[in-house]
Amino acid sequence: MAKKIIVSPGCIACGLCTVSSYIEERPDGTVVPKGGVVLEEEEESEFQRIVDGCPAKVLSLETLFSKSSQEIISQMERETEEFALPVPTMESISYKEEYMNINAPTAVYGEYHYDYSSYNRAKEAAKQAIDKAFYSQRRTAIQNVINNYQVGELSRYFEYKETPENFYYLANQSALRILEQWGQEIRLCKPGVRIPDRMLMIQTRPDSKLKYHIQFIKSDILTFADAILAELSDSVYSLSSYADYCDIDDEEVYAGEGMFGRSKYVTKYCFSNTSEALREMKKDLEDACRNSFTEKVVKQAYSCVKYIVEGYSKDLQTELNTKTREIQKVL
Amino acid sequence: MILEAIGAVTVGKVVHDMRESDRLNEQAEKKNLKSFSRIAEAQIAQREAEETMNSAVLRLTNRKRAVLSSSMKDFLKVYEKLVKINFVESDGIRELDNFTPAIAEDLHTQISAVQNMPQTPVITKNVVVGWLIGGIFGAVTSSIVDDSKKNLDLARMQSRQADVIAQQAKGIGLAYQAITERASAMTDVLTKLNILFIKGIQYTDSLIEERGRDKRNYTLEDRKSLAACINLAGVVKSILDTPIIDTEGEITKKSLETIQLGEHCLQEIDFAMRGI
Repeated sequence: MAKKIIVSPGCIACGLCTVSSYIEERPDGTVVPKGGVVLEEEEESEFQRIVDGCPAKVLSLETLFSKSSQEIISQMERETEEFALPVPTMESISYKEEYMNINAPTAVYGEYHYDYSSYNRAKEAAKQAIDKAFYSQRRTAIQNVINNYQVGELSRYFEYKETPENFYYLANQSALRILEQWGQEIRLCKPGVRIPDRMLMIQTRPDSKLKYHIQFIKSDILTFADAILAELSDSVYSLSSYADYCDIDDEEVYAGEGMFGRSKYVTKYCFSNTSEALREMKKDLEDACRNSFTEKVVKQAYSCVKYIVEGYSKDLQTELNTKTREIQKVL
Repeated sequence: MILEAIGAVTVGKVVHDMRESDRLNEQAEKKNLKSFSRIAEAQIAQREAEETMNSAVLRLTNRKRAVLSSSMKDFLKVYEKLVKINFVESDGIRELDNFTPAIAEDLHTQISAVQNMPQTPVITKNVVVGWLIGGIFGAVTSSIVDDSKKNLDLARMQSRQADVIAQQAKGIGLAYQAITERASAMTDVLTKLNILFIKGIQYTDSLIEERGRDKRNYTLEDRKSLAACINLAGVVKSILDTPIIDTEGEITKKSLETIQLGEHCLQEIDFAMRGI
């Protein structure tokens, strides 16, 4: 009787069984049986030695019972019909505090320079300095947070890549497991029938139907920085109001000798304490991100991700359907 | 007439400025998006390298844990039988002197520690250096065109920063890759040695079972086999004890030496087996 390999929970990842070509190692060192493997009698006795040598005693062999062709076809049709990728929830791609890295300078150049002839000029200079240092870069700072969010939550939907986190790769793997199961059933039922390898492979990739949605989460989403920045359109977040945090100081500065040889002094002004203005600006920006990120960015991203997952699920179902018809012909 | 002409010129200037502004803004936006896309690509590549490294380190940690709790545990049982035979140095098993009861005690402690450990992924020391996006750039003007020029300047600066960030991410990715390679090499050597080690333990156990406690029953070949098993235990232990990275986050030189020692040991066994 043909047998299949079972790896029960409790594998300690010792790697002893990896000498067998029927065993596949997972990234953490634990093992799983290779998909679709059916051991014939002569292979069984050889593999039994590996089963006996397993120190955790998690390997075993299970007898397989053959199904009829019609039963297999019905199973294939049913599984294709039922195939659907789980749609992620919005929480699964939610904003996380680790994405917040807004770096504001702690002070600006030009503080305590008694160079300005009036209070207003010093104030204007403070305004220009904090604008140059951070205020003008607020949009980029928000885009940077969105970029972190993209990398952390959305990058797995950007393209097909054979990495353990990639959505398309994982989706293909789940369809492949179904195909491997079918292959196993067919080998048992009709040992003489050879199913071409390409029929037991998944070739679906994200196609042009998903292009715009992928483009959106990959690039266009960065433009939503404007929507977050719009939260700071009130006058309390204006450049002038931040400049009010700066201090303006005056001092009598020596200005040479007067007409009768007397020393002449003029009042000059400087600005200082830009750090408080910058700190406030950073805090407001962070608050705006925290308060509106879900509404302005995550919601849009989620609707795209949902579309991508559902679309890709349908594409995989179509491929399984095609395979079912092809395998039916072979059987 | 003159007033009309001035009006027309003014309107013309405003329209021209607005078009110019749109053009510059569009250019700035394109540049900006391109920069962020470069940053994202570099960060994704870095994240993937980090995930691969974490897997490689986790695989090695799990393997070490498995070897300790299975093969080493079995070896210690055999070792206890072995020391009762009372071999002395002149008996040709000098390896027994290297593998002292203190080492055995150390292994007992490690095994009990491992058995109490939860089966969760191990978090490795974070060797990543943070990077910043910031700096002082831009110009303050009041006109609409000047604002757009400023946006474009910001975008250009962002583009240059993107290159720097991409380079940094690439560097970090390479560091991760080096750790991954070292961890994978160590896991592979440990796996191969463990297979031989288990065979050695089983053989030693059956030999002691057969020959008993009287050392005179052991031939020179038997003693060589016992010595080889103890030797192998020492090599396996040294791999178990060697960290990949030190407290500073640097890849240890010792890890390379241990891998080389393991490979050398495997070669020797392979050579000895060919001789047989």
